Amino acid sequence: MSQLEVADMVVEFAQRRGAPLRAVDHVSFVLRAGQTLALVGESGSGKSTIVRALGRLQETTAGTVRLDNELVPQKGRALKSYRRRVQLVFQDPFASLNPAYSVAHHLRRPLLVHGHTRARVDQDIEALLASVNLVPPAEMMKRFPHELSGGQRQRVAIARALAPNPDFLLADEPVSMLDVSIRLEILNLLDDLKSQRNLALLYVTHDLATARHFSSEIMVMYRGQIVERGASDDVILHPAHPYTRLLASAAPHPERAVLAAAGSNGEGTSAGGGTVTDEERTRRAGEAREAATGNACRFIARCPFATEQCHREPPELEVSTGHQARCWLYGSANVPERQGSGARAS
Amino acid sequence: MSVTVPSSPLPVGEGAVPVRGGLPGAARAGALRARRGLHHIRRSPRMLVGTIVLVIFVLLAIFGPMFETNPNAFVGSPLHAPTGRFLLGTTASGQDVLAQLIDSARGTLEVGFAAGAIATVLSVLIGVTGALVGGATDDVLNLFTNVVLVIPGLPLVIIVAAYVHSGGLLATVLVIAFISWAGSARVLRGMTLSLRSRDYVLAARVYGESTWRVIVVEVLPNLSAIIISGFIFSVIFAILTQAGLAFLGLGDTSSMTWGNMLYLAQNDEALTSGAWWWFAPPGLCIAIVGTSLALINFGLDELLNPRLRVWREPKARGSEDVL
Amino acid sequence: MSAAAGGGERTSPARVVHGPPVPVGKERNQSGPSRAGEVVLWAEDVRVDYMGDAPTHAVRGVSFTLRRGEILGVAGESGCGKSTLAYAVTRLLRPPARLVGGTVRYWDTPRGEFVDIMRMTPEQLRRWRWEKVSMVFQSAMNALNPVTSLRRQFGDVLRAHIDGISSDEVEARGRRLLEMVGIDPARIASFPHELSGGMRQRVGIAMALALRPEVVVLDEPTTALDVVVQREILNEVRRLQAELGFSVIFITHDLSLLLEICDRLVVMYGGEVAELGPAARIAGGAAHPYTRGLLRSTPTLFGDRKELAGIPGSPPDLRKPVKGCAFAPRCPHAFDLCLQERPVLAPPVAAGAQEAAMAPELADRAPIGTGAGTAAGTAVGPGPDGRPGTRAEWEAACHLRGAVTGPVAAPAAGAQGGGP
Repeated sequence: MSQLEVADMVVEFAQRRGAPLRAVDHVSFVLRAGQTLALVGESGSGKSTIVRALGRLQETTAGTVRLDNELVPQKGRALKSYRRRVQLVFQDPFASLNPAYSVAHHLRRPLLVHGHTRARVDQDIEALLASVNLVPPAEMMKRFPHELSGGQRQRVAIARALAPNPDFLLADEPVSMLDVSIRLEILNLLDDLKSQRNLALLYVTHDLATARHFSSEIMVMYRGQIVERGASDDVILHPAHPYTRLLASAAPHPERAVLAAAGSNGEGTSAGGGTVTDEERTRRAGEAREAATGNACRFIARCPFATEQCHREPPELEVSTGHQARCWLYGSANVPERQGSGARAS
Repeated sequence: MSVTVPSSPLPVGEGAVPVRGGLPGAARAGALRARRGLHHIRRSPRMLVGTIVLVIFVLLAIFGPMFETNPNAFVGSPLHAPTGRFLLGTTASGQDVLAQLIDSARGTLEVGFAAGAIATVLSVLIGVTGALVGGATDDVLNLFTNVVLVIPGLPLVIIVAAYVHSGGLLATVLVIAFISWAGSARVLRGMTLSLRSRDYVLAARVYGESTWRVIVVEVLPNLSAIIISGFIFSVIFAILTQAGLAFLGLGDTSSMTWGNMLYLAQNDEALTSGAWWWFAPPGLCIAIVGTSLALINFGLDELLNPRLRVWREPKARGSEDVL
Repeated sequence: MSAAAGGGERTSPARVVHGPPVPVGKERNQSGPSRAGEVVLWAEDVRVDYMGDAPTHAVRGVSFTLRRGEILGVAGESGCGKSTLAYAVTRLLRPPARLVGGTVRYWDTPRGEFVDIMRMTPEQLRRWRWEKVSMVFQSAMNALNPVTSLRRQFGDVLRAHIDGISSDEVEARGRRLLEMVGIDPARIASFPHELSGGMRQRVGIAMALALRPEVVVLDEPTTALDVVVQREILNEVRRLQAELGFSVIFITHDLSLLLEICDRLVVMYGGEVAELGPAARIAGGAAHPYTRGLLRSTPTLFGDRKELAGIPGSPPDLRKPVKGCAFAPRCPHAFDLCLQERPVLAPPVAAGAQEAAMAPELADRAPIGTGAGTAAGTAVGPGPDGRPGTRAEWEAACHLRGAVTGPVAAPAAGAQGGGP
């Protein structure tokens, strides 16, 4: 069974002055065939950098990538077989297709590069378009990107990624630029393709809800580090790391509105009126100044639970079986009861 | 430098409304619009007028000399005002001004288009290559571009032209081309830098397309509109510069161009003697050709940036004011 | 350590981002000194085209009212015309966009009458904007001047509208405004690029509130922000709105977010209003198949995992004339007639007597068949299941909870949403 193993990946960007900026900090994970792994984080957390590094568009500073236990080089001719097996889907469907060319061009090139014959290539293109539900294929292949809707473009981009018949698909925010009503179709398509082709899917997103819905495992990233990982229901319903809890509580909750409509609004009535508290202001100030400070936990400035211990960088600690958080709260000595988590699930 | 991870949940924008696209959208669609150029020529009155005028002059330059007598032959009495025989009169040596004018069209346009073409090729090679290869090559090429850009062009041309009298028009063409490529090169470099990180270019790299194919197939077509616009600008610049040089008596003064006609007219005191038929036509021709090229460029700009388009609708309700 | 962790729900990070809870969907007619329930802004049959080779009919006959002290959400996908509508009602349209029909009226309290904003003189308009109606844009970076300090920008706004205001007064007001949106007043010397995205958006809101307007239009104010910052901004808006009592038009593509914060909601599709009503009613059971589809398109974070499906198909091409219902080609309940006849907005029957008792222009609306002169039993062509449908069935399809009571009389506002 094919697997892609990332170990201790570090990506640094040189800065004009000062120390290099570490966008990805010792990240390790494994992608396995037939599974979807979600990588969740906000902009600037480094999740797209990981995708680019795995797509070999960005050189890594340290760490290894192994494809079926074989070391993957940074660049050069040896990458060709890796490129066939690992493909990317980009975020912006308006930027990921070349406006100068028809749909057919976008699929013909990767097919030809990876050894399809010219004689059969049109047939193969039609088959690819059909597999992403762009019908009728014979007509769609003649279209130009500006004649397609956002969803259709993203389907073309997915078809292009499938052209080399890859084993691994890395989808970098594949639906964040699409309209809400179209997002699910694209995600369902990716999910179906994963099952049909036994793909390993890395789903990079900032949306916790779709991450939970479409993946078996979730990794939460904060400022270059994986701060929490585990089975998706564990991570979302019982978030352990304070940052994950913050994310989960900040996401829009339409069900909250439904509850309110039904008159059963039972939460959070204690928060004070309109004034900004001093504490709140301190927090904001801390946030503004927040910078990578030595070895401290990256979340220390925003964390309501921060203690002295947090000035040492926490390792990934076991919360429950297969569920880890990079937080001292889960050190073996002091496993707290899990406050409030899961309350909303009921 | 900030983190180069553009992963923010950017808005979709009102993408489905076609005319609302800002510059990025416009640039993205540039190649496409260029391809539909013929269609747009008819839509843009500026471009239409510019193109018609230019085509007339080009046809004149190509076919005109076939029907004319030798422009250097002494055919009439000197400095004769326009008559039925000599529609634009004669020069101080009794040559037909109209014949000279038509013959000069060829020389002038040759200089313009040749210098423009060379400048464009140079700007594409230097600008695009630097941006795509990156690293030290880019640094060197960019430095070179900037140096050429800040060299005061006209004095340099005057000095060089003063030294190379022997090279004929070719020498003039080369000098003009050398001082006029740098601006376009800079623009092309910037545009290429932005195209280089476009997702479709990255996608081509991910499926294993070779670097040169990425340049030629994925990047260049999207630069075509800018390249054409740069070319037209270079042609205008070349025609004007050649006229200026010739008027000053620099460069090759023996070949027939409008600038040389002006030079000769001025030398023979056509201005003081009131022989307007000798100096006015070449001056007007230069102005008209320059204007027609500029109109074409304006038209191109409109295609590239829909915001510049002129709306001829009656004053719209509620849309006349801006915050 | 354990002390810090032992706070329970109240001290969990959730507390940090939750602002004061605003009862969602609660009618505020009775509460507050601000004569809640009055209409501040009244748009009627607004039509906007984007001129070009093929004009795009971006807004096609939209009517709505904004009540004093409410948060009105405008939801819809890209290209549905929601931002264009906002620009139209604030008279900020720029060519090639052009208002081709309709009126927008603003309630002038001192004069006690509606003023047609299209008839305002440039000077009246200049005063009206910012003093009465202000706008917060998606990108605060673009709205703020990058080369001057916040102090000067507050000064520019205040001096333009308050004659003879002193520098000290400007300084004091600027600082108070910053403090009001939760920014350290010392930041008044900062330049926009020195602030984070969230802070810039806060400054944008402070600027918009500088002259205490009655209406604030927020155009996708949080779309470019991360979810945590988005939550903070939303809470800020709700807090300020509760404190100062202005009305808000909140435009975004994120329906779930609107359901949470809005009193009433306009759902737009293809340049038209698909549904209009209290957020609570829409959250509880949307009437229009499009709204239902949108609601089904967002998986819930904590709910059960279930099969989810988006809405197949793509939005209409607004360059072409849209015959019938714009949503019909994507609608699972569509009859053949839906492609021919354009539905009008009418109250869903289940909305009940309370709605019906309100002024007609304030009522809850969802599209129904025009019904004019056609008996309920008339055949309307095959329905979604291929079976011949009746007029009554067709009319019921758009508001699946009841029958139709005929065309709605809307005396004040004219025919709501009913186009030619």
